[in-house]
Amino acid sequence: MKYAAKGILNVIIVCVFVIVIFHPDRHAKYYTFIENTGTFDEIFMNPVQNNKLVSTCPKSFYKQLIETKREVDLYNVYDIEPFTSPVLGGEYSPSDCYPIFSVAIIVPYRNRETQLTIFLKYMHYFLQKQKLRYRIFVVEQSNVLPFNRAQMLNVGALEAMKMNYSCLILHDVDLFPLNLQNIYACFKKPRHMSSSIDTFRYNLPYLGLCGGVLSIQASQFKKINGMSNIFYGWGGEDDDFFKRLQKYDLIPCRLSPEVSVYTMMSHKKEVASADRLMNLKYTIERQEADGLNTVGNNYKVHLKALYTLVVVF
Amino acid sequence: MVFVNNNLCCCEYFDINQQRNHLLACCCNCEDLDESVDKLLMGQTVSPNLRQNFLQTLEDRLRIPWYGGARKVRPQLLLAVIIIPGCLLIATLNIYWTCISFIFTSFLLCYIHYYCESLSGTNFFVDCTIVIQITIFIIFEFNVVPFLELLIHENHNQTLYFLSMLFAIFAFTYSANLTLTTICHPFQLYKTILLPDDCSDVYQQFEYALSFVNAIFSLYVSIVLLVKLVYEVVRVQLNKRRERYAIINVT
Repeated sequence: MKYAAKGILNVIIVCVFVIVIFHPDRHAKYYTFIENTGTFDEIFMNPVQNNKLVSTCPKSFYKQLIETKREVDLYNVYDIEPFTSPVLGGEYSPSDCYPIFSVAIIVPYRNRETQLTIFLKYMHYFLQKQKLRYRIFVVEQSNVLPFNRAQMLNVGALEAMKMNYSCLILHDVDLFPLNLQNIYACFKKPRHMSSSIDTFRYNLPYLGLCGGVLSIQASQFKKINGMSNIFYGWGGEDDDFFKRLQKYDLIPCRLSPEVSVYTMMSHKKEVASADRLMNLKYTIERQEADGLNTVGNNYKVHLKALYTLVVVF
Repeated sequence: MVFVNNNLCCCEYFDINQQRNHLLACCCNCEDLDESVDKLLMGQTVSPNLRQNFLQTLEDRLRIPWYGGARKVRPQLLLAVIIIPGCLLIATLNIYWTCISFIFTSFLLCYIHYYCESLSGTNFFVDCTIVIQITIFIIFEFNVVPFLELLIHENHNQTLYFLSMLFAIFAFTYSANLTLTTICHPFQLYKTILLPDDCSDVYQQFEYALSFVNAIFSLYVSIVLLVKLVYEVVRVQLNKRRERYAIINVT
């Protein structure tokens, strides 16, 4: 009888150990994604014609771009690839045809000058290859408070909407897309574009992750009242954003890991802010009273050669 | 003499004098120590007998609480438990301490192996191996895996290999690579194997530093094992050849 009890105890200990070691929450996730062949039908099209002399870019070009399987083009991102100079403010549209997508790339930023230079040059090259109409907004936080990524994105989104952009891509400055199949356009649902980052071993840490690079229609961003403004310091704001999306049935979709490949430029890892978990608790109650409608107007817009700079005080 | 252990609580035990004793009383009744200190203070020599008794008492009282009475811990196991994690903790400080700590530990182990007969005669090195394995395993599972960058099958493979000593070298290298690609900036070799290339800022956070030195440590252990394996293979081959010569000479 005593031996039986001991045996059962051992079995329980081993079981608990195995469950702890192989618990799914402790591991990166496999995820469902839209196949390359189905991608084109999911795209939200928003042609803006500003030059009546040229015709629409053929849909077949984009379809081919998305569906042609290619080796990941690991250009050396530090090399300067040739690109056409955009107009003042960092806006570009191909000269031979007018694209069926127009996107605003919104980049929250502070104090990473060399990285920003490399990022801008690479992104202009990359986006021009995809034949898009785009404009790059760099939103700089110039006060002494801890970095507030979400607030910067809200301000950038407001500015982009003022300029009639109906598709927003929220983009971290340290992420570089490596595959041209990863089309910089909005889908019918929001899309988490950076699901295969090299520093995460090309794996997705958890399914609710929506930081990094995310595309969302301006109308959808408005509907969920943007992002929360109260997350200062590193972390939390993207999880809060995911909850907002979830509430309005706008859970982001993804493309395959081969397509969604990014490289992260190394920089110092930041320590997570202590009150991020506290702030996350009351997301839903706060949604209407904290977000796009409460950012204020303490910012100024400057047009630079390669981008539109929005300085937030 | 047969003891009935049933009525011992987990902190109680029968000591060398067959007296019932308790772990909390480990610092009480130290006659030999008292006498030694007395003699030292009075400038007399401490007799070997007294020293022997003191060490025996010490060894006897080195116990951990256990179901059915406290169990004895081998002093050499305790030494291994202090040396190995201690070496790793010191190594997390920065790159210089990593080098210093690993080199120092290697010399220490070599010294024990060649010059410290009282230890090398015991199974100190077996204890060391076990402690190394457990340490690497614990740091991997509870420090590296929570970074959420490993898929479940990668961890499963790792554990399977880990459990089989036959694949020890591969397991150590594999876990080191999983760790390094998690905490460092990786690149793909021939588009298949993920290898680390830039580990420049691992010392900025303790978790990263601990994982990093752990990986370096397991790489180091796997190299030692590899050398040992090659050495064994060469030795066996040489022996065979020698035997063959011996047979030829005899005939």
